Amino acid sequence: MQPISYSTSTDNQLIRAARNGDHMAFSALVKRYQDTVYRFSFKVCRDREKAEEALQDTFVNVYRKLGSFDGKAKFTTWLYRIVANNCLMKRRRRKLQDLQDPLESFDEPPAHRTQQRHHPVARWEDAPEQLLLNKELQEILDRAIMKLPLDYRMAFVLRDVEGKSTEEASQILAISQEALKSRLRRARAFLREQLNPYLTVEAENESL
Amino acid sequence: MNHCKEAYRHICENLDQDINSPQCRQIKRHLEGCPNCRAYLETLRKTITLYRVAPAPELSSSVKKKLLKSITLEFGTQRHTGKRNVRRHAPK
Repeated sequence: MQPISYSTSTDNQLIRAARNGDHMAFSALVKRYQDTVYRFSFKVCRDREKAEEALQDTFVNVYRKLGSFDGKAKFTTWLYRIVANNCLMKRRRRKLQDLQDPLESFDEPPAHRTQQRHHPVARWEDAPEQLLLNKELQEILDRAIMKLPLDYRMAFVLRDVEGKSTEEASQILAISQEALKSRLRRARAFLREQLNPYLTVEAENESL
Repeated sequence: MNHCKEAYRHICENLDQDINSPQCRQIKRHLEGCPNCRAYLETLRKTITLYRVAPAPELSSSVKKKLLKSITLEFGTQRHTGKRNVRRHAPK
């Protein structure tokens, strides 16, 4: 077996070597993707401890399932899928969130939902991201996203936060592209509505 | 046709597309005349930006060490049980 350079080898070369018993090759894969897996897990569960637990579980599962990786999808797609499956299995075990209301009502524009068809949609601060240094806003973001059912939260994080394409995000979650779009539409609308009271600016000329 | 409802659906689905693409021209026309839908699109974009730029914590070196340790343990477990690689051989 030819020795390989762990830092410059492709994912597939490392996987092949790891399957042939090269533990250093698997460790190199872990080092390459540990930050990615941790950040994604944190963005989904908004909790350091849970993200660390997800990190451990994911790489143990990746090692156990390495033989079933067929190389048809990118390694990272497969990796994200294992993280997503871990999250879903934990949710089932804990039986949390299943009682949440579905988000069908977010298929309607906001004015239609509230029966106030002529009520203006509020404007927000010009650059709300500059308020992120404010711890209160970070807590509001955390609380809002944690109210989303996990399926919707993962669709939003994969597509809008991680920047995955619709095709890849739907492969990771093992759902159709249409289902992904539907979850995304509802998740975005739900989060926007949650943040709305905190970021609305008063219309300056409203009373003139 | 309910123009706001149509625009709402397309705004959500095509948020990251070029608003000048043929698919989006009709929505663009609607947005020009509808301050509510414009405000909605803008606040939806800001929602996404906030989550995209919100900081995530760095992975600490102690957690990285712990991870490598548990992976190393897994190497040993699978060598011992012979389960590694999940390559099943057809029965003779």
